Amino acid sequence: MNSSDRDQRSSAQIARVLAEIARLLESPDNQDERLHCVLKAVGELVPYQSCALLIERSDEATLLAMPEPAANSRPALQSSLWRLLHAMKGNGETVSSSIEANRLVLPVIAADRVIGLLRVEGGEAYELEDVQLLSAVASQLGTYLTMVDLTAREREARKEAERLHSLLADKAKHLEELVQERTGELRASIAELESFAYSLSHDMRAPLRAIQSFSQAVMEDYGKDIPPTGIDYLKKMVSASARMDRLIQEVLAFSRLSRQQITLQPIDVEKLLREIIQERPEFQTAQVDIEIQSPLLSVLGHDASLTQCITNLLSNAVKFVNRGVKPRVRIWSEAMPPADGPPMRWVRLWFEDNGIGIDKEAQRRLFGLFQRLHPDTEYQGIGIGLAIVRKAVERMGGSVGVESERGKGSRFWIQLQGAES
Amino acid sequence: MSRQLAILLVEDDENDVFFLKRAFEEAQIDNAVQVARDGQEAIDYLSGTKDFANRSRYPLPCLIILDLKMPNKTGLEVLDWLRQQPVLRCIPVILFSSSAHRNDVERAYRFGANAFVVKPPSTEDRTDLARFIKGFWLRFNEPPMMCTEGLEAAQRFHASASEGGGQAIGVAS
Repeated sequence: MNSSDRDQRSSAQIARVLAEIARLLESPDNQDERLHCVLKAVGELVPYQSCALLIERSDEATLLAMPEPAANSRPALQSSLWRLLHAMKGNGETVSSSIEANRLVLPVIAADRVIGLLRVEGGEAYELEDVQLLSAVASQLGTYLTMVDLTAREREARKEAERLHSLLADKAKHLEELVQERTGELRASIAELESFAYSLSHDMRAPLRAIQSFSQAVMEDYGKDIPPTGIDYLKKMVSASARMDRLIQEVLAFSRLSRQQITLQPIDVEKLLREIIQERPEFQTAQVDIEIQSPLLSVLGHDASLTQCITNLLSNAVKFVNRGVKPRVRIWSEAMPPADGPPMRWVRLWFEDNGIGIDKEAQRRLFGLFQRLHPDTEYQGIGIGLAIVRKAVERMGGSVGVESERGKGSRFWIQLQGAES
Repeated sequence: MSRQLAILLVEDDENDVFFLKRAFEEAQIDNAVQVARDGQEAIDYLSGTKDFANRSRYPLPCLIILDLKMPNKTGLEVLDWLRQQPVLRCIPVILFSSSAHRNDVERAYRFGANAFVVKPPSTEDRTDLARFIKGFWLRFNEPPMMCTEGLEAAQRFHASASEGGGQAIGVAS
């Protein structure tokens, strides 16, 4: 470039063009357009016949050239610049520039890495000042591309964050749906259970009623013509169907216990106990000696459930005695020391009887459903009383147990939360 | 006194019809016992439609014994329908059920049942029940006018009552 040209390139003009380039490279948007404008502006600093910028990012090359080369010469230009770029990188002198008489090639460096090159070709030989000006532009381009890269990465990070966020939201929604689905299933199975219990109490009791009633009708209407053994059979039919009916009712009571909501409140056990004894003929002094060791500690319980427990335990104590022995029951309460857990006052209610006792082996299955330990003929019972006791006590947050030996009576206990008094 | 008035038994189970009639005989209830075999038939009977148009053959009852669980229309549906009938709504109804299911009992009373009875499984209890029904519902209880004076009188009474100023049915004596 001759000196007259250089004179025309005043320092004011240089400052203006550099400022223009700086302004162009402020934003990462419309990158290619901005870079084209920069290449155009370069022409005002370093006059050229052609100018090319090759950028390499993630193994992909972008070529910008002024003037725009013919479409068929573009691949050749790109691959020759590509080779040049890799040659620059390969010889380790990444920052070295190639200066030939009428050609300048400068590396574009972003974050200490060569990511591209800028090449101008002029009609005349370039001089040092041209190199300096062009390297200023190259360094601006490097800074710009770093920024663009960072912005892209930030955008990607934000996109990734959004993706993860929506993934989480999806998962949460899915979980919620799952919970709702399961709740629905649970509700359905509870409804099914209820309808089963309902059918049990209606449809299954009707034929039973018919069996019992027709047996009775036969006895009433044709009793005279039936020999005593036949009457005996009919009586057994009546009592068997009556027992089945009781069984159905007890099973219903048991299933209701499992489902109904109960609220616990302080219960004066002694008062409740005396009421229960008073109401039932089989608990009167003529039938059984019941000794209450006053005072009994109050508990937190559910009135109807506790009534059921006490009634069932007393009934068993009265029922399961040896022939000819008058049943004797002793009832007392005991404050239990708190266990390792939270300081909660437990009260144990004891029911001791002089009954036939229970084998150690049998005690384990005593509180299960339909566990009758005695043959039908000897003791009446349907094997659900203690299952109800256990279920009711558990529903009140307590526990139940027994200490017994065959022939030596039993001591049943139920343990419930104590009521603050 | 309603000794000569009909009782409508609404029951789909033939056995239960048989045993209740038997208990009524045992308790010496002389009233005619009319039977409807399901809820829809009960509605037809009470409204005097279809096979039941002849009121002298199918008189309005002074007491309805209504089974709860029936095909076509349940006892509660019949009761609900009955209590919306301007004239018929005052007939006393005893709900009969196989169980004292809490929901059924509460709903029965809310729909306007006068009593709720669990069907007794034994002959003795059933006869007892028949005696109580005879003693209370057929002896001491005063039935509404339509049973004693005829449906037309009751309808006239209802019309004048709804014009305002009239007395409600059943209060007249």
